[in-house]
Amino acid sequence: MVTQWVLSALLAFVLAATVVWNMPDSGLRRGIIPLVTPVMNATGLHQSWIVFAPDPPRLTFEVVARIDYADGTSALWRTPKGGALVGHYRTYRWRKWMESARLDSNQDLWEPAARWVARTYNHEGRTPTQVQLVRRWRELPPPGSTVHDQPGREYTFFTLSLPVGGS
Amino acid sequence: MRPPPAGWARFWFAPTPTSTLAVVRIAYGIVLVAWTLSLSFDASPFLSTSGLVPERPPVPWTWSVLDWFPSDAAVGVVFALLLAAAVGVLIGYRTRLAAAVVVVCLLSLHTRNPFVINSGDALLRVFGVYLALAPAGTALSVDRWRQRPRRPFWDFPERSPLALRLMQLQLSAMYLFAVWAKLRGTTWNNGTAVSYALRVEEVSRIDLPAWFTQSVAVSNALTFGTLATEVALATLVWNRRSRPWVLGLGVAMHLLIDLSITVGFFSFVVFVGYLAFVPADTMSRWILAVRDRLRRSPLAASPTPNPSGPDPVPVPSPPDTSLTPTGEPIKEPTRFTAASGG
Repeated sequence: MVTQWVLSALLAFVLAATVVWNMPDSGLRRGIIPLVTPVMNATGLHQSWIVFAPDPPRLTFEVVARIDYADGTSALWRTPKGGALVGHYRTYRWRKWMESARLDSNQDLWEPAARWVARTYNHEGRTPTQVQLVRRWRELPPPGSTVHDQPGREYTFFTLSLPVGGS
Repeated sequence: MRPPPAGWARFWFAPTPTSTLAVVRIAYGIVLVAWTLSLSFDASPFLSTSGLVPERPPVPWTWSVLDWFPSDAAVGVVFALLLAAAVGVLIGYRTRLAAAVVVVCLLSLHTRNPFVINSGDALLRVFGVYLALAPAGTALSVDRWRQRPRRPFWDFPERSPLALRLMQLQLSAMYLFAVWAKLRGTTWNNGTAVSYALRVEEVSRIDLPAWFTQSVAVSNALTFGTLATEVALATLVWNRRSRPWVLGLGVAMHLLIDLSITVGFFSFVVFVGYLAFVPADTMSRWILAVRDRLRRSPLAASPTPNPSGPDPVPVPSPPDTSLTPTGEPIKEPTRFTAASGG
């Protein structure tokens, strides 16, 4: 009997916390969320169900890295994109990383990413001297539109200069 | 002290055959093994101290064992532990311990680099927490097999369905809040959302023709159809008569999503959750039908004794004296035979 009551209390808390966690921002949510955050985060029950919500992206985008080498050559790094059958079950995580890395609110990700690219592509006697992170995007016209191909755009949002011989 | 309300107590605690829980555990184990292997290819860029995210982001109240062992070797150890525990969950070997290790490892990896975690990964982690609370190794497991002949293998002892209920409610909540979030946008209201989603090149799995992805009629049908299906999955799935149809719609929707968009393991984790809605009696019948089919196959024909233990009908087994989460002894194990049809 006591066990059932204890379990019931825990279950009621988990259910209420899940509801509050997923509620839209509101005074009620802001008031309660500090009480449930410790439990939800510490137990791994934190969650978010906003896939393509409130709207899917209305542009197609990617993050690439332009690498300049000491010998005057350059290269372009793009995130891996796996095959349609199996490979994408691995590479979807790169897409998730790009979603975050392109945002100004995640500037902490930029320098480590540029340094990782420089280290990873420092081979075959070629030493990177500069890595630029570039956003590329193309806006998608609404369905039914007669305009099919929007011009692509790009913007260099981070530059890492490297001393020759080090990264 | 008065007991909790009868309906509440029945929903959470009424002993139920563990056949459904066992199949959910096996399916979860399969998906988790695949998930772990797929991440291992990119462990260095995503998780190492010299990777894309050298340190764990400081999110309040989150933790990771990699905080205490911040080395690439520790990442390898966590991976090895996760893979071993995932196999343990799959085959039901020391299941409670395995499930607990799964939760610790998943949580550690997810919080170490949350920038590569999608909704399917989060659902995998949440289901792991629920499974760790459940007696998931009670049936169809190595744990059960090791108890032969004291307890027959093909039994599904009754236990509280608490973990399965949490999974069911979690799925309902997921769809409900997904719809709620979508309705706050513009494109889900004007019927163009799916058209945009299908044309985002980075997530497209196959090249769909422009007449399909840019058709207003097709987009309207798919957008409103998605919303309707998600609402049904959040609500009508609780009606026993409409449940098979609603789950069928859900399977179709998630298969279409998986075929057209790269969402990782999301659809497969959702399917694991759908299994939690299969009534235990039905699942028991299915399992025993598979068992009987396997026994009739030429490969199974052998003069040696049945390796899976005695059939449940002729051999009485002692009552299971384990305790339910309510602290009360459970009832006599429920038996199902192919002859009785469950």
